Amino acid sequence: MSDDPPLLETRDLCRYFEQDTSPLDVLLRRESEPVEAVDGVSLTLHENESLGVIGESGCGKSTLLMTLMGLHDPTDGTIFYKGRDVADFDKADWKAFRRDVQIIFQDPFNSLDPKLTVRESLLEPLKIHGIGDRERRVREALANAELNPPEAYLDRRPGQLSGGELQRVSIARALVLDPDVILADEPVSMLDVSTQASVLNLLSELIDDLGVSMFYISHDLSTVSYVCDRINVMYLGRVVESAPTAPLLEDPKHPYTQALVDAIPIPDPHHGRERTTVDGTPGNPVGLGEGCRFRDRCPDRMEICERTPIDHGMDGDREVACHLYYDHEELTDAEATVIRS
Amino acid sequence: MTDPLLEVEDLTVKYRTEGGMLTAVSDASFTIDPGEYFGLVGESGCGKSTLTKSLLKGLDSNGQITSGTVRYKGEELQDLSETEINDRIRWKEISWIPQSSMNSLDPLQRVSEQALELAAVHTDLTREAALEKFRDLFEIVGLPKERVSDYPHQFSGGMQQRAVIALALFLDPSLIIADEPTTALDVIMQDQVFKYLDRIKEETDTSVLLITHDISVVFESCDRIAIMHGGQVAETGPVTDVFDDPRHPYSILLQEAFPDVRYPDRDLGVIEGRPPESMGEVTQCTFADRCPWAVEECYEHVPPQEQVGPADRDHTAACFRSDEVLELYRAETDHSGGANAGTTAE
Repeated sequence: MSDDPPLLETRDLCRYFEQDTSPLDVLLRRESEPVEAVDGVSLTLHENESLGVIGESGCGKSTLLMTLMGLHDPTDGTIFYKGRDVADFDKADWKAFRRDVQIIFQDPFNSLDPKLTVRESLLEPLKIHGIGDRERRVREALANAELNPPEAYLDRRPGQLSGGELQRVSIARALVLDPDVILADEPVSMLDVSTQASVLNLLSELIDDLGVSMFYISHDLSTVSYVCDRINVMYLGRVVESAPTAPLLEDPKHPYTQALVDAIPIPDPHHGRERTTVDGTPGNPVGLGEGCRFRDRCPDRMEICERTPIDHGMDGDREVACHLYYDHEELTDAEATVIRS
Repeated sequence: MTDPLLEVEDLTVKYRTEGGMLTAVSDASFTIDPGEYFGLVGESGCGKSTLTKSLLKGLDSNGQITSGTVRYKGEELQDLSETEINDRIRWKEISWIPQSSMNSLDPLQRVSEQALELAAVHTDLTREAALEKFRDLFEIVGLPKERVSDYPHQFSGGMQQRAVIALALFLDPSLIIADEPTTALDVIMQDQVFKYLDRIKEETDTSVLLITHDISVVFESCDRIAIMHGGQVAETGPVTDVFDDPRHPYSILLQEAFPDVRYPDRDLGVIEGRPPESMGEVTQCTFADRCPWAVEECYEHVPPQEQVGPADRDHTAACFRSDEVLELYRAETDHSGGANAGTTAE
């Protein structure tokens, strides 16, 4: 590891949302509990790294991304960008941040202005940030997003492009400012599989060739694994496991990660995968209090799971938040007996 | 051999549009046997939804079957009137699981009321007997019996989808058409739903026509598969045959484009271009423009769906070069091992 501070880092980041309170609640002085969308998430994105966050809908991954972008203020915890706390940022710092940190949205059909040509969409960020040599940069970004030849695309509008081409324009728009970090929000989930493959390949190449770092969120472990070096698994607002991609897929530690990996369909009729044994749904991260958030659905539930597990470091640069993996010296044997359901 | 349950033969469906007649499905043929799970796979716009809608006369008003037949238990459906279809076929014989169950249950009615309505229209079951039957079905799809009288909003997305499956099973249909039944669900929930579809397969003789863009769920859950591209059925056959010995370039390339979590380091295949919109008559292979092995013939004639492989396997492909494409593909890529088509895992 170099001595440079990591590019982007969160420490115990929390983002809660107040729930709507009805007049009756107010009259009865009932306090509604907040939705703990993101609850104590610590992540580190180094230079030239691609970090994935996966989880089911409602796990807080999108809120996490919005908070990282500065679209939500953190309820608690800190975000560091190149070692500086973003809470101390002034207006100029934010402007620089928004130049260096770019985003690719999920839905390419709705994230480009339908009235702007591709050229205009790509010129806009350059104008805002007062960057010169615009025409060359626009062409270069289009070429890097594999829209070749760029001239063929410059004067077209979103309505004249396919989903895959639109997502490439979004990628080019993110690249045109020569960013350090790209935040990608399910960038291929709206695309057909034949197009999805080419966009996934493109994203992996960008990380290797242009030296951008990527923060990639998705619900689909099989696509994340093609792009990311390291994967964080989120469940109900918390990261339950963090590990390099290959070991995470081959030997998932947390029971939730195991369930996720085991539920992925395999495109091979001879494979004979077993169906999932996990029942139920994640529920809502409201008033969960103490304890592991997966415990109600966990096949390995123990009594100790009523207490919140620590993030336990393991060999091979992994961390897992599960009581199965560390000694509880203060526990008697009886307490640690596994209650198999 | 048993008689097939559903036979689709040379079916062509067209839409009237401002630019003329758009051919959404052209000369599609496949059969589904009793008790069989059949997967219909293709990318968006390939005509898979249009095809299935046309089976039950569910096309939009500008769409029509212009030629071909749909035979269900030997009877031709395409010329039946709306009333006849409603009285005899829909729900009782062929039921439908739509893509978004969240929008297909009446939010103001208890789920049990929706089942009772079906019972009142189509059966002479008493209220009590109908409810009892619905409770049993809830159990089959893994929902607590006592929740039959909940409102839809009291269920999660996965549970709603299972409630719709229970409704679809309610009149003991011989065929269930499931249009992307799990696309809106997360992966664990999707697997839960398929767990119960597996169970239905074991416990009943119901056939399922599963429409999806996800070839991996078809490989896991279906007996046979049809792959569509640009309105044409490219290839049909038992899933193992289509996997081991694909005969249409699109089947080969589609399988290569699919991520496989077992091999995250594999390069994903890419299919260049996009499917054409066919206005008027279709006179060529719709995959020709995207096909690396297209020859002149592919642009001049429509390739017929022809038997490939052993005769008893009912494996067909619509490609002039079906005998050689797999060889051509293998010669161009040095996939000696790993995840390429034709290699068996483990």
